[in-house]
Amino acid sequence: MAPAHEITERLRLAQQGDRAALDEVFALVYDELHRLAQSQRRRWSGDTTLDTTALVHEAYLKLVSQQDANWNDRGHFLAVAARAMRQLLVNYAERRRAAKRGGGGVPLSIDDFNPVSEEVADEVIALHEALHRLEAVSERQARVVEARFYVGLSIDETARALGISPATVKRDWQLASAWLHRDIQLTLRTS
Amino acid sequence: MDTERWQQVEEIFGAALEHPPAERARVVAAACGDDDELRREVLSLLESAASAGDYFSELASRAGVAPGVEPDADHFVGRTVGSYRILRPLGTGGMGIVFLAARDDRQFEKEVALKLLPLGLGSGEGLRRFLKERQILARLEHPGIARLLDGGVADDGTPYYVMEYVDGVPIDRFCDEQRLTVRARLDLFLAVCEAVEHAHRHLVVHRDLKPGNILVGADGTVKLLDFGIARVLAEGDADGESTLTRRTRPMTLAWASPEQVRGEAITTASDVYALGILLYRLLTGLHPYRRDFASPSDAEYVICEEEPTQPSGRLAAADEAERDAIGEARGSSVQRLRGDLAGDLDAIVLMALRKEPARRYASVSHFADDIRRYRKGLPVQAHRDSLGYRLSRFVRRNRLAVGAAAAVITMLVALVALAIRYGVSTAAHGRALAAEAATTQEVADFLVGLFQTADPVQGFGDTVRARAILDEGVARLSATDVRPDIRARMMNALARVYYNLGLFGDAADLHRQALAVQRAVYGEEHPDVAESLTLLADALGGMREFEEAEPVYCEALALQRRLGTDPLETATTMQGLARVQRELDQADSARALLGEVLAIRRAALGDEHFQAVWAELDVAFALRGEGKLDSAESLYERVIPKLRSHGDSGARLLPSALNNLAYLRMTRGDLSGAEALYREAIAQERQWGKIPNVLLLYNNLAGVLDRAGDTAGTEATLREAIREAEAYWPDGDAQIGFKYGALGAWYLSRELPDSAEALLRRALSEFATAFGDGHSRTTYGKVQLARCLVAMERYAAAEPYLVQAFDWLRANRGMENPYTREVGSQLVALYDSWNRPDRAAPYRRLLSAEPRAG
Repeated sequence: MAPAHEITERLRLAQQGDRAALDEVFALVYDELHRLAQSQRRRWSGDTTLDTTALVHEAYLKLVSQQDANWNDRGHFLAVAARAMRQLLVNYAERRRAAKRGGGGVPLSIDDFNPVSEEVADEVIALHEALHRLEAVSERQARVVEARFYVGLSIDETARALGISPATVKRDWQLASAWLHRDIQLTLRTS
Repeated sequence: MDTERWQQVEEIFGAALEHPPAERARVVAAACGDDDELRREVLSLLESAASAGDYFSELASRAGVAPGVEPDADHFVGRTVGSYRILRPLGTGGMGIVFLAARDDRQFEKEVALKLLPLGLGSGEGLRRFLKERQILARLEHPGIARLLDGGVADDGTPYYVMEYVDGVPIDRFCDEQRLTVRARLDLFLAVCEAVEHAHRHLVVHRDLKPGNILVGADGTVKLLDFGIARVLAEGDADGESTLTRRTRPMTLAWASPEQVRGEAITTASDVYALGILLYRLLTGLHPYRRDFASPSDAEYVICEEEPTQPSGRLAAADEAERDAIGEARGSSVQRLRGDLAGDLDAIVLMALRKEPARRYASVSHFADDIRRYRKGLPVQAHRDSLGYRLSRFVRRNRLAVGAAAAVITMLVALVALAIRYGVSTAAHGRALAAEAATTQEVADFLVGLFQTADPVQGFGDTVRARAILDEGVARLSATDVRPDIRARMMNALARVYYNLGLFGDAADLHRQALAVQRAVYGEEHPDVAESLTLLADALGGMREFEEAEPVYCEALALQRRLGTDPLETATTMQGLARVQRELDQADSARALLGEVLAIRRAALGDEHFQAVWAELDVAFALRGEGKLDSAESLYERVIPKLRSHGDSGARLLPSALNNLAYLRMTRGDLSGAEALYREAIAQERQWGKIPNVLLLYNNLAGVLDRAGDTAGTEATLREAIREAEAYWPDGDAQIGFKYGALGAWYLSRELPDSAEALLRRALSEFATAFGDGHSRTTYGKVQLARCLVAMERYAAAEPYLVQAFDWLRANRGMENPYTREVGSQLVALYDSWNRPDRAAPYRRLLSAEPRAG
């Protein structure tokens, strides 16, 4: 695990557009979230829900030193964490779907931790793909959705995390969620 | 969809939303002009937008992820819910959004507060529960409680409550704005208490008391909102298959009680706690703890473990800027406030804020009554319990210190008792020898004085200090002129304190001295001699000198039987003997003895008495030792709950019982059951026992996690063990070596030699320091390190370690020892991989030589 200040450093670089740094941070955050998800399951044994907000908070504490980080960094972190959370969830969903179809690899036993149930796996994947398409047209709106949906941030928190105004967040959310909603319904109906 | 197009859509969509729903179609049409496609697109999006928010909220719940996205308040304005028309939003909270609404039928335009709950009703079960709750709440009629008027389910399935609209201001703001004095604030607070008490009598707990829910009208009347609604929400969570799916975050942490944070049962005591926080705020303007938490576990720690600062003290710590504001709001100065709060009010508030629900005020009316007593200048109940409470919190916080402090207090008590006893017996025998009495009193005073150098509870925070004082006590005792039998008893008492501190060698020495004195005074046949023998045997057992201990126990037992000692006392001796026999593999004899012990104690004390339970525990352990695992398991399962009910004494035995049961579960394959038990054992041992035992438990826990394939958990546990060991022995200890070694070995087993190397080196250095170079542990450490280096193909580095290890083993264990041979083969394998057949040759020869006949 990279020392805390290195993560903050990478976050800053990533914010300045350094893609490699962003990928690195993303990978680190993803690993940590995954690890935390597994251990969270152990704390509330049996319950397979995933408190993603708590996960992101804990990952933040673990990865970014409180002394090092200022407000901006936390926002950047949350943005990256939201993406990592999205990826994490999609991975769970894909595993679930693969298990349902009996597709290759190790079968998912009852004890394997997977917070995504069968009914929801398809929707999670549909959302992921729709977001991907939305990103192509408006990255900012995709980030807003990530922050609100995967991490459960409020309008204000999202605004601070992404460095935009709450009014913008609100408008973005309204449009993006409408578009995604419609798109997902369509995908599910026709799949 | 391209970016340009998207921007167009964005603009029109945004513009449309700024108009009321009825006008949107028109606005869109106007903006799009001829572009039919654009118009259709935007309209379709607008339609989707209406339900998008809810959809994602629900998806989040169904996917089991983030607590959910909050619904958009404006969305509802103008809509009709039930027979109510929504006028405007009043506020949002953790429990939903509140709107100002009015009845739709024009006849009664009375304004009400309509609260939409952040739930989605699933099956009929959820609805039924919601309606039932509504009935209960509707029955709460009290001037201090906002009436529940109506409730139902909106078209989209959202449940709602309709309540009396209260035009008021949160209580803390009201008090500040009106600059109410402490007196006046207490009056208001008492009004709040009355309302809460009324609800409690109707078996409704609020669960979410905070200023936002306690409004004060312009005329100063208090009204409580949202009674019991938290329960409806919480019930939904408790279901495995949530018929009521949660959509927003649970409680407001700043006001949550320890039991709430831990997810335990919520009772009226939780409301008492919340009222305590409220009172704290009203009196000081400050919060007893931090308000924002870095993470859920941080919150849990602060709320469940940190002691709140007393209000008067907290005021002292307030910074300049705050002080003025606080004083002004109370029509006073911080200085005077501190004076007002110190003493009774401090105690009252803190009693309400106690961590354990059972130790708070028994009810809100008890709370209110104590305040009234304070007002009248009468003694306040809160003080009575506080020393005991503080002591118990101290004990909890200072795990290790408990041993030392308790040991010393025990001794103090024993010494004083001795002095008194002697005093009594002189009088009984009619011998009023002033000189002797004076001497005894002097000794007693002297020894008591020895321990009053510091507050006993504070002063003995570590074994080292306690030991130094004990040592001095022993020295002074030998220099003091005192009757031999008294001297012997005092020696035993001192020795027992050493024993409690884990200093068994010193204990044994003192017991031997006491024994010598007693034999000189009484000869052999005397109960005091028997007592000393038993104590000596205990100490020897503590030193693990079982072969020495056994005959001493036997002697003591025989003597007790000859003297016709009380069976309960002989039972204790038998119990000690049985334990030792078990260590010496005399299982049958041990079990027979334990059976007898159990029978004696049951007969004399009853099944449930702690001593009887303790004996049962020993039997269980014996069964396990004999391989009767099923019997052992079921006995443990019976005994453990009994132990739990025995408070502190039970708690001391609990960790090892849990540990044993966990082991049995594990061998049966119930890994998660075992894990849970180990964790509980760790928690218990931490509270009441010694860190070294905690470390042992960590080993076991890591073992189970490893078996269950939980690599993250295993690693975390092993690391935690290292941390604890280092904290406990800051100057180093073999145990630290073991912990590093354990983690290193684990990495090795997972084929991560790079990670293992540093750890194994550290382990080796700790062993070398603790045991010296010529010791089996150090040798073993060398072998481990060598294995690690070999795995990294660093043969040259590995070689010296293996050679040293082999040489030591050969010299000290001989060639026929399997481990010596094992290390020898490793050495040969190393040379083979390294391609140095010449170096391998001598070792090969050694290994192939016939082992000498044993």
